[in-house]
Amino acid sequence: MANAAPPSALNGRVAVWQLLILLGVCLLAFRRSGETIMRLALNDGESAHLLAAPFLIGLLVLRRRHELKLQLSRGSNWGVAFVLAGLTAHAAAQWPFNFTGYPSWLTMVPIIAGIILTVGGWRVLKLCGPMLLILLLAIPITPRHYAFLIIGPETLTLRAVQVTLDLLPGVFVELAGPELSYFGSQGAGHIALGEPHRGASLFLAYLSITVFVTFASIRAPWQVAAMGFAAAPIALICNYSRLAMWGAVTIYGGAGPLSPYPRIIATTLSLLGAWGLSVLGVLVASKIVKPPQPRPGSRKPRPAEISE
Amino acid sequence: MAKKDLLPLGAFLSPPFVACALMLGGAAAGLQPAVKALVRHYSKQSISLRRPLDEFDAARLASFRVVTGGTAFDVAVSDDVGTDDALRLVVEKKGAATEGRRELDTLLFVTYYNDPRDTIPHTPEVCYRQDGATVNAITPVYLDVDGIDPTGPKRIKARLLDLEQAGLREVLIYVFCSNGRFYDDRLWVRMALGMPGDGYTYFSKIEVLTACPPGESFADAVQRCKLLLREALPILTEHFPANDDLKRP
Repeated sequence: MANAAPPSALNGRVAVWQLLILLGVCLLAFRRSGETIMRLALNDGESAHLLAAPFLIGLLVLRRRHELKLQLSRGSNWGVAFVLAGLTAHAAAQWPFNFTGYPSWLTMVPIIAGIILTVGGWRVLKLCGPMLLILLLAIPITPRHYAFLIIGPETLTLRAVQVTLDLLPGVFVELAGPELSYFGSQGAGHIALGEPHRGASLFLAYLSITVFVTFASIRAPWQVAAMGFAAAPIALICNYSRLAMWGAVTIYGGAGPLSPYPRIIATTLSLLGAWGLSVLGVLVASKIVKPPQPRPGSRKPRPAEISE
Repeated sequence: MAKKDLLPLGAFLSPPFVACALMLGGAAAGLQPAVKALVRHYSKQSISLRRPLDEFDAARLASFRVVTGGTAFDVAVSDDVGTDDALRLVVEKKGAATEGRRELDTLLFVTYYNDPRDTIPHTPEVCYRQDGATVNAITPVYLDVDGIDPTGPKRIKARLLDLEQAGLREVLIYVFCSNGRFYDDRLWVRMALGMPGDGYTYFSKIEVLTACPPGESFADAVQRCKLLLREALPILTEHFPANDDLKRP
């Protein structure tokens, strides 16, 4: 359905204006959901990566602007179907079903995908995939959904942290439900006290960072696939490191269980760690998975080197 | 502004763009009021139990007898469950190996809700965890239950939790029943509550919990829970509203 008309500056400007108009109307349609999501992001530190999402998406658009310009077509009629499907799902989530939170917010993603498809065509939509993925990760999962989804990875992480901290001299650490408690020569107390999901929501923040780093340059599909496999372990390692650092600072720093400093220190370092591990992952992927060699006479492919 | 800088109006009249703009504009203006009107007009109604859960006839449990005192489980129903229609019953399995051993008691905990817009906030894997239990594993479990379906045993999918609480391993199996159908997932119950069709709606959460003390087999604890559920479900369905009573008036 896409019209493969050659791109021109005028086409680009028209596409940008169409995109802005449709996104504006979309924002108007989802204003109530948007208000609720923003309130959550502002009040819940574990959903705060939503605040960074517009910047990450903007940076990705900036980094891919030449490719976006090159791949721009007059759009596809399928975009209308995406928007219609998204709006239908949004309405159905509220009636007859009563999913007014996360499931109804998720319908924003196919609608925005539909808008991009309508304006720019399939190739532009493919290039915008990482931006949509960051948007998807930024939508805050409501606590009840999250509490269920996270039981497995969170329990695994807490067990690993308990074993690690238990190795520290003079400290005994035990896990009861979602609580890590310690006692020993340093005194007794709780680690990560009062954090609703023990910071497990930061899994999504770590994943957002990995997605951003992976797609900051146009990469070969093999490298993207390799990073896809690495994303979950990176998130698990970072969350484990965060809790372990938090525990060590709480136990030896004498900050007390209610002090914000162990949390701030551990969170900052782990987010930087996620960045570093993602860059390392991309570097390793680019060394291990070589881009396909150009056939004689074909156009030289765009190099997939790392630019971070 | 030079003429070449002007955007052609025709570009904004392309059918897909106009269709998207109209759909989104329509949604911005009318989606919420329309949904509210639909909710108001087509909401399902609440329906009460046929017989209160207090009248649960435990004597009909073929393999269990009720434990009246000195048990590890608290039989008082907490206000947190969000309903007055609830049953907490502690039973012991008949037989020389289990009788009189309070550590092998089994708890039957049933709650009944009939708010059509209920979001089902309580699920054992989340609530027990917040109460201090560590959830080691969550697995599906199947029960063949007699006495529910006139055509023969009904295969029901339930959810098994392998818990650890205060150093003690526990087994919990739970299942939801909504409008006569059984589900092991809260999401499906929410879907069932909203599904068009019936005029009335309800759901119930039925859970059984038993400990697996040191030296006892985990498989035995699972079997104890499964047996209790198999025997309790047919009795409980007699308390729940009949399917014919759920139809629109």
